[in-house]
Amino acid sequence: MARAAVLAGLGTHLPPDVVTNDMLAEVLDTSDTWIRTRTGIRQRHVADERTTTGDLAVAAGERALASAGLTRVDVVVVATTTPDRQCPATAPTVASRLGMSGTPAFDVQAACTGFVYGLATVSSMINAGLFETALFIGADKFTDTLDPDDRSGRALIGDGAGAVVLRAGESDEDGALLAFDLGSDGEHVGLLEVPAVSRPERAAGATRGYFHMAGRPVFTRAVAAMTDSVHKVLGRVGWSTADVDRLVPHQANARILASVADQLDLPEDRVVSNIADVGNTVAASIPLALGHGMRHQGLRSGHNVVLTGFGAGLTWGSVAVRWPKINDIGI
Amino acid sequence: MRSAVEDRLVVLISEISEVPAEDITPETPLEDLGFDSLVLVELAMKLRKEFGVVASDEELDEVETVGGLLRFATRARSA
Repeated sequence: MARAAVLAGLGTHLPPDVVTNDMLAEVLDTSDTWIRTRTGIRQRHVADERTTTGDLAVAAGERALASAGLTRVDVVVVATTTPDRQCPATAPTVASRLGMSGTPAFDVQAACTGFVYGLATVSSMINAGLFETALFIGADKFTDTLDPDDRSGRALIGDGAGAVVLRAGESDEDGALLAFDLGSDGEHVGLLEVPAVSRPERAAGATRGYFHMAGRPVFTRAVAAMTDSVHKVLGRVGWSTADVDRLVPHQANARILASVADQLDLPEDRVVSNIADVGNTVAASIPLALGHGMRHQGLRSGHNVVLTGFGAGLTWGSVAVRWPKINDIGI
Repeated sequence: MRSAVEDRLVVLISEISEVPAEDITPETPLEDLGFDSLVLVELAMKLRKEFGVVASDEELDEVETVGGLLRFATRARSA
């Protein structure tokens, strides 16, 4: 059997403050009905001003380590688009706060596809023999990028973190990451971005650019890219869509998820979704959905699972995994 | 005489809008079917799946009537 990276733990964290659709409707020109019918979101968790991406990552990381029964790993990787500092990466401070000063640590940035890209990175390093164990965290405080007047963005986005522990194992074990597909298309970078602040803008007092997204072109590309990517990863692992017990997509928008399920002819009960409760949490989205799937949507050991993501870049990717017997620690 | 592809599109539009298929003509404005801004892209994705036809962003922006969508279906049939 071939060496493979195997999932050994899962932990998630959501900041305690909840913003409901009605709360948004009090300050913006929107309504609960408008938000629910267009996005499927009822509420989102929003980190307070003092809480950083690193704080969210540490909380999820602690839980993933506990879930795996470990206190140390060989490498710490954080997928985030909202690092605590522009430089350096967030992972070294997260590693130190988890009691692992001295451990290799770095960030991966692929926006909403960050969790899939990061899994591919960590899996490859384990396969290559560089490390035996890894803590990989997807965390974002993406609400920091939002224009306070942007009703679409504030309806869509929430904060959170999710983490997995991976260990070296064999490809026939439950939990083995079996196949990947990754892609990008920088030609459409402008459809979905947080622009950098130029020096003149900074001199004029601007501290950051705001997130913006072209809804309709992003919708079509998200559905097409995730659908095609799932087909590719299924081809690599030798599964048909009928073999997929659970699809765990990036929680972009409930209608995007429904459209992907339709394209793949997957019954909706096989598509894990927690977007109603948490919104789009960027790099944290897939691991938060995994925890939700285990608690509420029947995701269990032995299931053939495909994770798929799409996000700014544009980027997309998928991974196939046979779900392991692990403890999920989260809320 | 509509083609099978066009008939299928009318069925899809009818399902999504809950407007009876016999009431849907090429001249029917999509607005009259109670579509919100995402239904058009949802329909475009169904066309991609069923007929392999991909509408560009610009083409979608220009679609205002059922007939506009039927043109995509026709394109798929002649492709």
